[in-house]
Amino acid sequence: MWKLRSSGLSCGVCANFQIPFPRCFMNSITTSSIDVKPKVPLYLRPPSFSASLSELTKWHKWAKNLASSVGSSFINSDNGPDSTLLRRELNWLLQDLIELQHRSVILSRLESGNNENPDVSVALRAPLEEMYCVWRQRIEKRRPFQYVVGCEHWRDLVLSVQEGVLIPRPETEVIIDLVEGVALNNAPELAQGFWADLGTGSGAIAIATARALATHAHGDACGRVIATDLSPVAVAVATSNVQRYGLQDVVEVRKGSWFEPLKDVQGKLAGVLSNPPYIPSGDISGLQAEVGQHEPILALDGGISGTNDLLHLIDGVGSMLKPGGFFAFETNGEKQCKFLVEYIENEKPGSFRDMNIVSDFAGIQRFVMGFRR
Amino acid sequence: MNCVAMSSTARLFTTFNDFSVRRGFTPQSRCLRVARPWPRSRASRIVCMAEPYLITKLESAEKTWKELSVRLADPDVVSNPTEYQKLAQSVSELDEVVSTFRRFKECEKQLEEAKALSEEEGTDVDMAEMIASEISSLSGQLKELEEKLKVLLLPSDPLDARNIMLEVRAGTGGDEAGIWAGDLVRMYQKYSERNSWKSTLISCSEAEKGGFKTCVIEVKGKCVYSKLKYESGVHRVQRVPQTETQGRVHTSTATVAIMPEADEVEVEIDPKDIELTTARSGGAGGQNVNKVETAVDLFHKPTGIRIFCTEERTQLQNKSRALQLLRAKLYEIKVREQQELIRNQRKSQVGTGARAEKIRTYNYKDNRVTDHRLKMNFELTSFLEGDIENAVQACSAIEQKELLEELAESVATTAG
Repeated sequence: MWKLRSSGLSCGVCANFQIPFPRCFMNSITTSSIDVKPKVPLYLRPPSFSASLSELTKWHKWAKNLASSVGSSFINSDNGPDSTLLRRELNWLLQDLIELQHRSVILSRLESGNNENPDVSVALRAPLEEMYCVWRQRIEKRRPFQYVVGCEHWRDLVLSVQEGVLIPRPETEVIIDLVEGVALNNAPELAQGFWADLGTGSGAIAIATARALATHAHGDACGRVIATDLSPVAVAVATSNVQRYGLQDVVEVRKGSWFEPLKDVQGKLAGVLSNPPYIPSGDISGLQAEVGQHEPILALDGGISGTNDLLHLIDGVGSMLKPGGFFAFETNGEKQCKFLVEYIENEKPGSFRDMNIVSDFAGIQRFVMGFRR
Repeated sequence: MNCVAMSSTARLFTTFNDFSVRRGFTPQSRCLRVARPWPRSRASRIVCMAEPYLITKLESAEKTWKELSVRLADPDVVSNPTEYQKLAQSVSELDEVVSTFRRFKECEKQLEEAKALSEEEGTDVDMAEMIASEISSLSGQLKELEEKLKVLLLPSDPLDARNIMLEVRAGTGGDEAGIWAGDLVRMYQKYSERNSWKSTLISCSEAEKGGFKTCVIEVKGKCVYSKLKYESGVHRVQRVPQTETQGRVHTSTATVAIMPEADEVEVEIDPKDIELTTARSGGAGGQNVNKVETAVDLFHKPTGIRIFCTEERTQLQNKSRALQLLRAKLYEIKVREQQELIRNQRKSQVGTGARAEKIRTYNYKDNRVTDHRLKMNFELTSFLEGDIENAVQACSAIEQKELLEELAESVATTAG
């Protein structure tokens, strides 16, 4: 393992950097949203640092070896990532680190092991010393890759994320396909209504929905989206993402619990979407470290069966939606999906129609959706 | 545009035709029955037989060029940038043909004048010698120009300008084949750099001991297909593998497929023919997991093609990449069928490669790459560093030669 060049450097403390360095274990987050300043993702920072090609090559080689040394150890301990995935993350880290213009040339140089022009200066968005630090954090502390680079690519978006915000999952990408393929396809007028994304986190569902509504409104008056979240960090981060996509006139972010901030639109909503916490409390400690030790428990823990919040949503959604309105919720899998459908049939008979369970691309039943009568 | 000059050459051209008729020569027989021996001239059968066919094409090209050039000056066109761009492009493509044709006609005119002079009575010996030498040099120039025109008029492969998907697949040889596949990928990445093309990794499945089982890269840039199309086929390597303990030389192979990109109109894919799954390993998925598993597995039922796209950062993007790659593969099948038909008709050496055809052997001990189609050798070390341009150009030259011969044959059969 390469020795870090500045002595006295240890994880979590990287002094002398011009940008605030994110500490690990950031659980003590202020509760006032005024104090939360969303962090700038790596790929958006100005390329005001540099390193020589040979220094960059050295770091890359070290980082790659560190990733390869993991092998299957994470898989075996807690179903974490293996070396192939870690090397892929490393490639993406490089993409975000290197300034755009020279990226493809530098990346192919690093891949091909070409040793020419070692002194060529490469523009970077963070100092190389920090990259030694954050990659060690990744491997040793299992800090999520997305928090390291400060962003998550999701559908056709790039969302800024940081500690305190749930990292959007690939499975959730399907919810937008349901909005477009099922809701707007069958009831195009819904594109002009008010939609709600409950527990918005980074704002992923809200932003993607807003864009889908705009596409389907075909220039007519477009619908609006209200995104809610209990966490002040989530509210701050979601707001910054909404602004970055220029959707501040379409997406409104409100702080509060589930339907509470939505009293003014009760009975008027065209659609309600949510990816609520759905993991059974007992499962949390067994999750891979990236999730269980770094992501906000608030966004994951759904109570003993994992269904507390889902049931709360089912109980309230009927009175929130206007007649013909659409809902879709993500769940922990087949058992929860079936449980919810049964619950609706028993407790809310006649309230909904065209209810369906939809599987994700891995073939797991993941979503419950339907329309209000 | 010198209209006066053009009409004079046109008139002269008519004169030339009349000249041949007056003399009772048909273009074909002109070569075989030479009334007066032309000192130091080279009569070429191919030149004569191709001429009327060529001339027709050239005249039509010139006519089109004139018409387009007039339209370029039209204020309606000037004010429409896309239209103007398209027209300007067509005109510039014809520029070289037209200017070479004019030089050809000018040269012909001069040759005729020189010949007319040489037939005049009463010229002294020195003058006669000078005229003879002039005739010889002009005949030579004329022949060169004619060759050049033929090449300019060769049908170009409509796929030449396309970007491609390049797939390298490990063949026989176990682990060593995987490593060899990796070496080939690197070679093409370096060649791309040399040409200022952009190469992007689309999908790969790594081999255990290094290298790849399969690897697909997209190569984008100017005229990519035209250069890389000769790489399709089996590349064989003879060397002592890294895994070999006893220093024995092994032979392994990797197959390269070059697939021109196809757009959605050229290849339609029915959603019902596709199965799309993702590689989400392990149990519950969703909130339980944070792994960068955005990989998408696309299975095309009618053909059995399976595509695994791993490199994009979202499932949605990997899905589009997978579809893009599927389109390229389906298109390549179509194209290859058509081209094999042509190749067989033409008995071509360098087509765009039957899949199983062994095109090159890379021998490490002798530091030598042998291209079996060209029957030429190249230095191995620089070759693997991406210095493959000589081989590419040689293939291109052979293909051109074959096309010219085919052109001549086809004209001979129609004329004869």
